[in-house]
Amino acid sequence: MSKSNSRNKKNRVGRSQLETGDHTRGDGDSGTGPAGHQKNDNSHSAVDQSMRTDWTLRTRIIVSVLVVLHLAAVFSAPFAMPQPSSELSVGIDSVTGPYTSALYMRHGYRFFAPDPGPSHLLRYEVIDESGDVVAGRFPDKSNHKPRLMYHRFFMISEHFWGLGTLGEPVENQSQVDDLNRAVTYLRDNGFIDQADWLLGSIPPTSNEELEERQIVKVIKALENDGKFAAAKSARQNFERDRDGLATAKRHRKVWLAGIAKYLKQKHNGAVVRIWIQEHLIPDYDHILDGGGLDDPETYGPRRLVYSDEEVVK
Amino acid sequence: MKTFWMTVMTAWDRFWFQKSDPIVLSVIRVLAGAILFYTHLVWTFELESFFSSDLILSDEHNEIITGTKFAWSHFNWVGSFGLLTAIHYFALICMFLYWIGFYTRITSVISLLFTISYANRAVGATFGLDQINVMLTFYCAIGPSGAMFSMDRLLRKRTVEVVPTSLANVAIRLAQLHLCVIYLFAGTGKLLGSSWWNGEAIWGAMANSEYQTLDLTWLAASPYLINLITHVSLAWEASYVFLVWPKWTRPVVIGMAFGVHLGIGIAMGMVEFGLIMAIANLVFVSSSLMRRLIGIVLSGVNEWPTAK
Repeated sequence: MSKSNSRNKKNRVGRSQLETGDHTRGDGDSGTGPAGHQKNDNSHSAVDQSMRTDWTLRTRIIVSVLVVLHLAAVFSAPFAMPQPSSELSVGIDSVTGPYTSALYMRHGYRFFAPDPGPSHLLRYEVIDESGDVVAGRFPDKSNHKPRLMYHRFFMISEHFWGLGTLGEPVENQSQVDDLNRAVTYLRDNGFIDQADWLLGSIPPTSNEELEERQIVKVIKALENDGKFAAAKSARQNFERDRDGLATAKRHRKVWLAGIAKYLKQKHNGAVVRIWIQEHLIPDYDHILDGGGLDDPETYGPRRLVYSDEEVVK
Repeated sequence: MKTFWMTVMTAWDRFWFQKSDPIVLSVIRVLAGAILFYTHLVWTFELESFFSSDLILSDEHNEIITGTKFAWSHFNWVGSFGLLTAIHYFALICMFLYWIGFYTRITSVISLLFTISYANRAVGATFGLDQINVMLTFYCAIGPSGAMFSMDRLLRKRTVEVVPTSLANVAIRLAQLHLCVIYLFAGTGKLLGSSWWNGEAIWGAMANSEYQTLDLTWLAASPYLINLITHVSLAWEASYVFLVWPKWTRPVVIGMAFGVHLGIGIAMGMVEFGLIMAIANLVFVSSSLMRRLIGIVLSGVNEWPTAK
């Protein structure tokens, strides 16, 4: 006990020292890295002695193992995500994932990477029992305050876009049906190439469908060119993504149901419609010609992603 | 060979276990604690909308987006919204106490648990701010972050003196290396983007209407300047992990970090994120420099242990 007390006294930064700024003995300079020593100072050895750890070797070994494991886990998460990533990194992340997830440290840390892109908005209309319509958007500078709350709503529309868009062109459905009938006719009459060509030109009923058709085409083209390794890699990615897409589809449905319910409660509405829209970044010329960041031409088409059944009917 | 390993072990010992003045950790607790408290205070305005089991961030949404049961949150266990509200105010009180350094050893750990819990539940509405909040609270909970500038010190100043400890050093070292991991992947991730190579990435950030709080579109007339800012930003971020350690390059790297992050805060409306990143960079400020800075800031306050 007395030994411990004397050791503590020896290592203390006294109040008087701190107040006078005389911290020659008390400044470990940890923020500077090991270079924090005053090599030309005559009291060099005194600095080293006073700042030397009093942890036992056993404690230091245990702490060393813990910090190495912790830092390996911290590194493994951004090493494995987002794609592309190696099987090795994904394998390590699958081991460390429970730990980093429990600490909310499982992140990719790709701020503004690979490219700062366009923004994405969720636009909505809420119709109440009397037919009055309230229109709004996520995010909305005038309604979402303070600014941090605005960013919360902004992140919702951005994350939602990351799930892929449904983009169902309901109004084009009859045209799509006609083209599908034409494809069937061509196939049945032996015009296989023409049928494939026409199939590629049919507007998708969903982005996933378009993506699937395009990827299958690319994989076939790679195989025809003898690029089997690239084709294999593309096929693996495609199959993994296809599994992810099924989850994304369910996720969109669940998320939109929650958002729609929130909007109905907030605006005392009966029916909700939600669209997703891209807001593009204008180029230099647009601004130099007198254009603004919010000009109509900077907004992409609205895609309906949610509509209550009453509206669809 | 034996000498080599002895040298390595000595260097390892000095890097991790040399005792350290807790001033840097204490300053980080005060600054990051304020951001932490504010972050969660803002949730109060839309607590029900975001955290109710069936609204914006519903239970089912959370289950899908986290994809793991390890991303725990008290919101997943408590059904009553009244109880959740009571817990929210309890969390705010804990975070406030942590911020002012009252029973810091306990309140830092409770605040950390709440911070993780909110972030895990709010996935889908979270961003970098929440990640750095957790990171800094975690390391402040490990080290003696309440040793200075705290109620703990005020209440016990007659009996307790500021003691340099190895634990303070371990906490700072972990934070330094964690920050390097963040910059490493933030920087190398940008190397995959074409706009960082063609020099237009910064334009993409400053001409984004949803982010913009300061109109910098006049820079469209100076594309070379936009290119230069883009290239310098990328070079800084990608090289951070290497150049932040040598003492000659550290001031430039940290100075750039303050410039970039505070710039993002002012021009892109992410004040909290800009500030928390700048605060995180304080882990690389030496305790002697921190004492000088605090001495300048608090020169008229005799209650704090300042350098005069």
